[in-house]
Amino acid sequence: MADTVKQKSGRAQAGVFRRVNRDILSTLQKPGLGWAAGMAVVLTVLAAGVTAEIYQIKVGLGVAGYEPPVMWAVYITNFVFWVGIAHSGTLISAILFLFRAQFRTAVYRVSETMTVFAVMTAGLFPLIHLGRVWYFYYLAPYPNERLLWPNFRSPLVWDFFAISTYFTISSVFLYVGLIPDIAAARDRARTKLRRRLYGALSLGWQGTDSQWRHYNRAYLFLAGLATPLVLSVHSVVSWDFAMAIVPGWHSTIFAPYFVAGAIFSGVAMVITLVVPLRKAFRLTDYIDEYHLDRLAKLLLLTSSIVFYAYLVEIWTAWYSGSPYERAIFWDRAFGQYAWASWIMYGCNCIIPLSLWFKRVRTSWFWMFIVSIFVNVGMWFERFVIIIQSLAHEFIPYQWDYYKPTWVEMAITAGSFAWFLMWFLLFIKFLPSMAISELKELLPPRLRRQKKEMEAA
Amino acid sequence: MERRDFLKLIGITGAGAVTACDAKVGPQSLIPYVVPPDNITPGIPTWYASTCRECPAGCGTHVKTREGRVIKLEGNPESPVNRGKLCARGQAAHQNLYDPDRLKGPKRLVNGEYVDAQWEQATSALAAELRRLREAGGDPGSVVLLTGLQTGTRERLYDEWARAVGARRVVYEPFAYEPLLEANRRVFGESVLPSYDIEGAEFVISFGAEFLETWISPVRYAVEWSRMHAFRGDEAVEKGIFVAVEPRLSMTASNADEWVSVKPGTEYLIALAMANVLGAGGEAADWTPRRAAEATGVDAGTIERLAGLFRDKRSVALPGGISTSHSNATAAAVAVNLLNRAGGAIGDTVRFSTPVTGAVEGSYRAIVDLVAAMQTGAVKALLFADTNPVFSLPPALGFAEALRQVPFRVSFGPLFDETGAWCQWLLPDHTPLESWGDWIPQQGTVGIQQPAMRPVFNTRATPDVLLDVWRTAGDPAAAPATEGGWYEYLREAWSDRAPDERAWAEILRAGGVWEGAAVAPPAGQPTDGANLGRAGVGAAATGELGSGEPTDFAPPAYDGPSGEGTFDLVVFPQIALYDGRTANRPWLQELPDPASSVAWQTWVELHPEVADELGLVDGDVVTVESAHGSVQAPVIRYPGARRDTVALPLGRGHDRMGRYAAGRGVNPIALLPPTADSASGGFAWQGVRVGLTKTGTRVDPLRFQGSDSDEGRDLAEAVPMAAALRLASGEAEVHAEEPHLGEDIPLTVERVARDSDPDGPYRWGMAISLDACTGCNACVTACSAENNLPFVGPERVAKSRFMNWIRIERYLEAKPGGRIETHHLPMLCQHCGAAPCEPVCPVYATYHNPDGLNVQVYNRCVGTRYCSNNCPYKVRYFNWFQYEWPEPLNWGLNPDVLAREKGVMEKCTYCVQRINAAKIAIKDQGPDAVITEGMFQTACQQTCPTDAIVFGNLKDPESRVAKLAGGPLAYSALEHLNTRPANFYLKQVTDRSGVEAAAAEPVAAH
Repeated sequence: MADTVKQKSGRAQAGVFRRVNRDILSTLQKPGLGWAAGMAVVLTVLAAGVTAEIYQIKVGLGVAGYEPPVMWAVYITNFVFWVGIAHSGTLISAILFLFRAQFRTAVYRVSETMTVFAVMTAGLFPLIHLGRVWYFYYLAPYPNERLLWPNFRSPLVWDFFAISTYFTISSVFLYVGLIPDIAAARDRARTKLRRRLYGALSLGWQGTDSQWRHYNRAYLFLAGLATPLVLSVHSVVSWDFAMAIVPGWHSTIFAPYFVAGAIFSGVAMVITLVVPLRKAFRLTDYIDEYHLDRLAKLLLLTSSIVFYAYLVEIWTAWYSGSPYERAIFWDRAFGQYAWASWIMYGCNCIIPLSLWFKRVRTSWFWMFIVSIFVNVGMWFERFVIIIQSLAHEFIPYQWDYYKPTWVEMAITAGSFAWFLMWFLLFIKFLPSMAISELKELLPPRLRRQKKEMEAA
Repeated sequence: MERRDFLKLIGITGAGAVTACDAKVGPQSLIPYVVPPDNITPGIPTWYASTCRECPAGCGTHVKTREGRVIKLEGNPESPVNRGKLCARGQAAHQNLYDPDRLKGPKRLVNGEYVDAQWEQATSALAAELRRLREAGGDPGSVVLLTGLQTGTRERLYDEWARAVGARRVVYEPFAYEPLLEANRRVFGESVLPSYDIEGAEFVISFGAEFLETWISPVRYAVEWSRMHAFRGDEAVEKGIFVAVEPRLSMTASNADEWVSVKPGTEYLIALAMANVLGAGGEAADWTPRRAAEATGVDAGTIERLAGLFRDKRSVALPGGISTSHSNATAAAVAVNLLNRAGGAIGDTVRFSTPVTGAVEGSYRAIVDLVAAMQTGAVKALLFADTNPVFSLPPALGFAEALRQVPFRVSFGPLFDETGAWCQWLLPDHTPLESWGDWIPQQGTVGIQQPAMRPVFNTRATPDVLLDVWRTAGDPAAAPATEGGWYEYLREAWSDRAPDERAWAEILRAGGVWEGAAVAPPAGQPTDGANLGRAGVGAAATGELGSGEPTDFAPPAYDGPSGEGTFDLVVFPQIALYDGRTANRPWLQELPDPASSVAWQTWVELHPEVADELGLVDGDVVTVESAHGSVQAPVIRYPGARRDTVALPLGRGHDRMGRYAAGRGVNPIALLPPTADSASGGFAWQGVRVGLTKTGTRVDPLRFQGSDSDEGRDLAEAVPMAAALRLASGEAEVHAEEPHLGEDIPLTVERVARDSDPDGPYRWGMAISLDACTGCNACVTACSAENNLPFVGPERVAKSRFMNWIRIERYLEAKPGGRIETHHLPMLCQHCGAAPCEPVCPVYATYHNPDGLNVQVYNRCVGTRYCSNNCPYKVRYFNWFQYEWPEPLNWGLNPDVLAREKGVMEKCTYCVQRINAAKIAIKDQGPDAVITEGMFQTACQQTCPTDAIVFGNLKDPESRVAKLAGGPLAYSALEHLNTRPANFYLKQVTDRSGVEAAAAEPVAAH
């Protein structure tokens, strides 16, 4: 951004603001061929996933690869993966907002929408994995003549509340942040329909002083409200495992370890999304190496925490003296799922070590590669925790080896398509960067540069 | 909206919904009787006493029917044979009745296709053919009625019929024990099978007799064995010792205190050498322990030690199974007889006074003669009843080819099996559960067989068909004794015992007459030595052989070259499939083999080291090739196989018979030559050498068991006999052993009993004796029958999706000296007081009921499967699909138990329907009435031949279960998890002969 600002140092501030508006709202123009092609691919994959799901409901859950005692598998892996992805969105938009970390401005809208869509994706999997999905509402506390309530001792019910709360808060937060930008879109809209739609969505935003004051206060409160969710939601998800007595799950480290892992995978996903987005919509002026470097450092930090958690887990298993715990971790490293474990260790612990080098942190290409590895690694982390632990429990008679089937693969691919479909729709219909906040950043910079020029 | 509009709307939508539903379901009648039968009250079971005909043992059964349909079989407690118990085959007998592949009526072959026929047409065609043959003056051998082993009235009918129509009756039974008969004739002058008194013995040594699986009368011997052997800690009395001498660690051998692994074909030398040590003269004199040790590979010290045990204790040696079916089988059986005689067992633990059914003299020899006659064209008509020789005879004998020379062939088999496929007429008999009949399992005991329901299909009792044929085709001079049908014939035959209908009704109620009920004589007092008469007593006294015929103790002839890359083939019958006759019963196909835990598949058992040398892992398909044929089957590595043998199970490899049997596995009989034991004419099942070739393909090994080893987790605990005695007598502290996980939270019965409604009278629980459990899997099938457990099929077994609520885990433990200790651990829902499955269910589908049961509410379950993840015992089973019961298999479903839909978790309920039935039964005795011990039993407990499972009320301190669970051998599985299971396990008791304690001498090199 520094370059941009240098070039425009002589221009009036209004001109800069106008350009910001134009650049960012240009993403809302009529979709090009590339977008349409992407959407076509996404919808095809989604259709395949939906078909697989219908088939699964009709024939039974047995069409998935479940092999008792592995009763949870890829669906729950995907659930935890997507919830994890969601987390960094809230971290970037809420926590970094409270900490006034300005590098967040360029990427927070992307990560926030990612949060909402990832939660929407994650929320599907607990349903997909149910044996009788047509009775899913038994999990909700609704009044009924049998006076039956869900079992509040069950972590799955906690999950239900955690996920629904998280979805509510994060979508409200996203929407509130969008209001001034929707108003900007409204003001530039060319068609009547768009004007009306954006007009309704912007809730009559005029940009008056009192509106800004209320808006800023509301945004701050929402950020404060969302902040604990970053920690709580994934802690609750981790308790699905930690509250069970399965060796390899039953561990007090799970909550912090899952939160760190979630942020780790979420940041990686942000990078994975931002890199192509920036190129495709020519937003290179707004997202530059400075942001990349900061994201990379966040990635490095969370990778180190995750690495540490892995080591602690292994040490705890050994130190506990429990043959069951020890067997789990021995099997994890050298047993039949060793391949998955080493993908996990390699992608999450070893490859991110390259982020100690600034050259990697500021290279768009390498960061994209690293982020992909981290995404893969974190998916496998959940795979290993869930499947390998279940496959190697207390009773050696019931040890088995699970392999996913085409149904699970199709549904997993379909979940990515589902996520991308929303994302593609979003970038075409709503501003994918926070226009107003970008503008807020400009004046001090301009002032600073003016000073620099005077000094020169 | 107006109130009226609202009502209208509701009315319309309601009516719409109702019509929509109706259109789908259609009209249904709940109780289809216009005039209800007298003996049927809807909802109340009717029981019929009958006799199990799944093998020749003839166990007494009680057949439970509901609304006119058989739903369960249980052992008849009054029968002296099985004393209320049944094996897995008996428990699955009604899957024969409801077999969807049964012939639905008579059929005849027209232009290469079977078309439906009428019974009158079939009977007259058969009669016409037989009359034509008789009037054409054919020799009496031209019409042959080939049957399996029969006793009692049916046998009489077969014989009389054959005489009357000018036919010859040939009896063929695959497991006919001819060598035993011949050896008994030679040594004792009695060509019968004696009763072996295992119960009364203190030391049992089996030479390949799989008496807990298939040998002669397995349920009876399992009952006896447990009384001799099982130590439950409730009394400080030393129990007996059991040693198995055989080349493969069979299920029976896995229950032995010592398995003496011996080169196949040389087992008898151990018996001879033991007899030698005990001072037997004659040929035994040549076989010193040292010489036998060289030939068998068994240590001479072991032989001497075993001989010492045999001398010092009240002992019995059992000949049979795979160790008396080489080409020198009779000699092998004679050797065991000599040992029994030298050890003083004759008339004591081996009793000829009550001979048992099971053997057929000259069975195989007769079939060889028959094949010769068929080949010459001398046989004009061949009728098959209760036998499937095309499957069970070695193809090398040429039976099927010889059938081409027989112009007229009729099968009476209820299934279209391999033999039926050769016949022009298929005249399906009733299954035993639809038939009248009787069976003599041992002298003086006659079991009655009565139909428990009307025939499912248009079948007809073969005796009725034969009587009709007799009347029209038979010699007019020898008309049948009755004008009526088979029932009248049978009733006539019983007229002595049941002169009036009252007596007959009493016999039908009791299920038979038990005149010679075997009551064990007191130890050391042979009560019936006098019965030996003739040669027996004299022989026993003088040491001379009974018949005076010399017996050649030369080693058996092996078929095929020995040397590098060849193995001795061991073919063995499986507990579930016997000789293959039960192969179309899906529960039995899906029953894991006790040793290999394989279902639905024929496997090749290889020692793991040999498999390593050949680069084979579980599931690698190999070609097993002998000089006579070859089969392909997947390898299963089994430490209980010897390095120099490969073992294949019998029973699978059917081409026909039905959807569950056809095309499953291979038939190892194809590898065998038509060799016979020269002395008895019995078929030599063993003694073939085979080669192994890797094919390169791999299939899913359909094993239930994940790991053979319990990985040192001590799930199935064991304690040496000496320590167990000290514990039982109170000399030692229960928890004085080395501490392990969970030692600081000792779990008591009192604590577990509190895990139910404090004001309620019940806390149900179990005490499961690992010392009694043989791993026979009878409980598994009993549970399937009682609780409507579906069979899932091989593809799903490959994915471990089996649904057995109770399973027998089998763990092998390597002991010093190369010994293998086998632990059988029945695993079922533990009904924990602090059940990990309960808090994690989000919808309360699983919860604790006031009786302390951990209950599963199928209708509430949404299928998160969290409960199964959190169950440390892994005893919850999920309905991955909607499991179907092909008509009429669904007729056997228990109406008291819900059949579960897809997406629902299920598990052991402790037979809650039986608990509730008992509660209903005591309801009219007032509010304070409680269920007392013995009012009902769970299905697994009821059938367990060894009484390994004891179920009852833990809150009643006087109950057997509370006493056993409070006893010194009780422990809880995974106790350190503090789940407070209601199942207490009683430790296995090992090292009875002090081998391990004396560990100096290495045993059984193999």
